[in-house]
Amino acid sequence: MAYVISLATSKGGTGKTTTALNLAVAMAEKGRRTVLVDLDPQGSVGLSLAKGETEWPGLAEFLLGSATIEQVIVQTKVSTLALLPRGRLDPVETREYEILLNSPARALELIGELSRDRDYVILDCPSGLGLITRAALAMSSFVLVPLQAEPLALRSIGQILRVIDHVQKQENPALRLLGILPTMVELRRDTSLNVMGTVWSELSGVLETIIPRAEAFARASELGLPVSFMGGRIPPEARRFELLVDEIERVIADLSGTTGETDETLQRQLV
Amino acid sequence: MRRCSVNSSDLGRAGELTRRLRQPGGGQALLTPELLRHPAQPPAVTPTPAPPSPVVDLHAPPLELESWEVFLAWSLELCRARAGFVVDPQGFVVATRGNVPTDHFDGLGAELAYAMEQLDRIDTEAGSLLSIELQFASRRLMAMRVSRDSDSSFVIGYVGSRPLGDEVRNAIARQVAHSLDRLI
Repeated sequence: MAYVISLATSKGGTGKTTTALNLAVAMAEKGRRTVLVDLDPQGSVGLSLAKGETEWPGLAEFLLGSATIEQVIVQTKVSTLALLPRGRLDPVETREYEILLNSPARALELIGELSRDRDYVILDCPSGLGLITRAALAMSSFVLVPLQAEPLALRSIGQILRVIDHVQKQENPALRLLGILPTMVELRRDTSLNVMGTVWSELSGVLETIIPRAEAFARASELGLPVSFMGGRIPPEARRFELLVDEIERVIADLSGTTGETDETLQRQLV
Repeated sequence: MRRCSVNSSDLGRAGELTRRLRQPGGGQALLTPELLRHPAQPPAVTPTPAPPSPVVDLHAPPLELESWEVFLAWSLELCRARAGFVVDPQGFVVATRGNVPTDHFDGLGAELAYAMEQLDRIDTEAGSLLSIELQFASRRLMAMRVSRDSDSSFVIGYVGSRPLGDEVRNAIARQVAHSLDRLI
């Protein structure tokens, strides 16, 4: 069964969907069988891929019972990566969608279906602390919190952490914070550098991989592609997601208590 | 390095939470029913596009529901209708849920309650009319009547595309009977 990783933030504009998409691609390109699920009623993943709002059926159809998972999963051109789009959801049906997603039985069914024969299920949550985020956390093994390197984001980080803490205590004792991922970092800008200084000194679990603010992401968004799929020289930003995958897998091994089983070697001499 | 203008106690709490939330020993790969608030038997998934099984256990004990809105949310999940509404004994719609039209089912609710009273007369020897299902050109309307006593009946209506079915209808009736005193 797969590890289920939610990406969640209280504030919008942190690069959550960009991170989810590029992380899922990087995982898949490393051979991890991965599915990226667009939980956002606004269909952010589809929009990032320049898809129209009604182009794909998806999670909405599954929740409403008009399709099975097999019928709505989109297999990408990367053989180990699938997408579960939001589906054709009328904005006025958002509340119904939230309620169905918050049903424990339905969540169990969804995760059971998605986890089969996969290594990772990535849940791209909408921004905010509402029902969908809560439902995602209740069905996740881990949560990754992108943190924009801006003062306002730092001031609000406590909100999502409190929700995660609450869900862990009340609903999902196995939930763990995978890490805080700094995004849109500009170390040459005082404000961003100051935020990072505070983040590094005050918070635990800040990942070593940081995602910089970069023109490459805007270009990729314009093309409706993951950043590693753009033509020409592979941008350094794409490689950051490869590093992120490595780091995440190390953290998962540590938090799952499997560190040490296969990562020890005998002492050796160099000369 | 100049410190950000962030409330230090907020940061302190956030730091504490990050440490607590990264205690090893969690992150199991399998979501088990024990980790959910309301453990339930997951329904079987059929590959054919037949009417889906309800996601709620039809034979589970009734829940303690405190309002018509919560009841409708629960029952919509059960019957997969697009919308639901409740009509009181005076013919007024007192609760709605789901894909609700702009008039909040006001006219439909009153007509429905009246129609059910009239239909009672079709077969007086059969007792009170309990439920109806009407297939219109563009949608299906299903309604159940629940009564606390002979003079006060509520009508619970659903708008959708699939029939309720006996099991779902019975489960809804059981839940309403259990909760009616609190719901009124």
